Amino acid sequence: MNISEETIDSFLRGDLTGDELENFNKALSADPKMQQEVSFQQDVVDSIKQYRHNQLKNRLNSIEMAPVSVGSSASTYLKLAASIGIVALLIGAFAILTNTQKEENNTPISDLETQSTESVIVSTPEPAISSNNNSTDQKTIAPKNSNSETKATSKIVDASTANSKTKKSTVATNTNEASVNTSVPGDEEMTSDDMAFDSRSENFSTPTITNTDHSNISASVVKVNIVKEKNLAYRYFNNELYLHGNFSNSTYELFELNNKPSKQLFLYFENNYYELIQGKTKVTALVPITDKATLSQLAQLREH
Amino acid sequence: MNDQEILARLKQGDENTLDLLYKANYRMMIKLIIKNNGTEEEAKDIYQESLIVLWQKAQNENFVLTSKISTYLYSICLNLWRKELERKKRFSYETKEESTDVMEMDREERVRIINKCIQKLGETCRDILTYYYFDRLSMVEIAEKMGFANADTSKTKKYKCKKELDQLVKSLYKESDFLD
Repeated sequence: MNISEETIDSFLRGDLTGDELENFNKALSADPKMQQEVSFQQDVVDSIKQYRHNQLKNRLNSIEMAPVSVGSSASTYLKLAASIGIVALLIGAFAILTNTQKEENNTPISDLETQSTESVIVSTPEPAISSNNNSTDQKTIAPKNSNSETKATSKIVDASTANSKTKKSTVATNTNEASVNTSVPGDEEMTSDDMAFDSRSENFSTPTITNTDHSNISASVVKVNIVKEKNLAYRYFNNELYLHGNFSNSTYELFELNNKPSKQLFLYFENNYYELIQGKTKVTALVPITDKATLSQLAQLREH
Repeated sequence: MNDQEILARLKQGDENTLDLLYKANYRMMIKLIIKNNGTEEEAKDIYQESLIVLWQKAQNENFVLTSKISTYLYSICLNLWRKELERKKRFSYETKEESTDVMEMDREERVRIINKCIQKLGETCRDILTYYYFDRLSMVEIAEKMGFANADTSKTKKYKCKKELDQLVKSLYKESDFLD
């Protein structure tokens, strides 16, 4: 029996079963030359698999997570309590911000979500809210973070790979109760902190970027949809941003730059910056920014 | 998203869902292994491996989830960790054998060469091949993920990419005298 290339490939992929596999092995054992070829290809396929395995592993590994402490010292509880407080404070602030936004845009977030593309986007809040203030008044929002704040917020940022960050701006989370679905089999030590973080990380909501300025507090909301494509491009549709490109292997970040009087939105992806001009309704290819002044401004912003 | 939706997305090869799943169950799984005498580093490693196991299992048409995903992950984690503990135990008793085996060295060199070739391959080719062999996506799913017109395009490209890689490897083997 002659073994076809296709059969070899099915064998290597592990698609052959039962009789097919038996016949294949029989034919193979009678053909030393073919054995050599199959063994060669087996090495190649094994390496391809290993490559992908490492790729996925690196992907997961790059998601930074807060350290897990199993012990129960008093100080950990204090920290937990503090972070719960901050999370609650943030959620409160966001709720108000998001509400204001909803009214302005006249497009309820929940509606937007049903229209969104199949891709899942994690929100990455990096809020800058002065910590000692329990009021959710927008005027309390200042671009400087206190230390304890930075800690809590950086955790939130780390929790995401599809990063959309803004510096010197707050990002509002949309706490989506429907997606908070944490199943916890047999872990007696789940604290409310766990729940808070779990629900946050299961928050499949859209990144809503709310910008704050030093003097003049203005807000803008960007909802991002990903369209998997080879070439980088974007467009605005229905007040939502559609990013075209292959974002599955590396992360992207969004920045908003406040050059008065106008605001500009930028995308950072794989070492390049791109400007996203609002109101482009046609799919527009993204070309890396080369202007040195803008680049240094953006690099500064990003490093921050 | 409920578990079935998560599973469906994993089946389509949606890495973002994998990230979300990772984050959602992180604390529980890490605690599980730390409590069973693992370090946080080990815990992370085992948990990541468990997720990749699930990722691959989700591709199997016959795979049926009989429990919650978290429960399932929990059991994979535990199994992998037990294996790891056994391996560690065995390893500490064995006298370290230096692998000066010629065959083994040959194999390492071959793997090194193949990996070099995979790196050389274009990103599209690399994605197609890894999606096909590791993620076991169907041609239709690959077409969707890569933005191809249809499954035939995936099939043709996959064939060409595999040929290209084979040729690359063979030519480097020749340089290193692995063939003939």
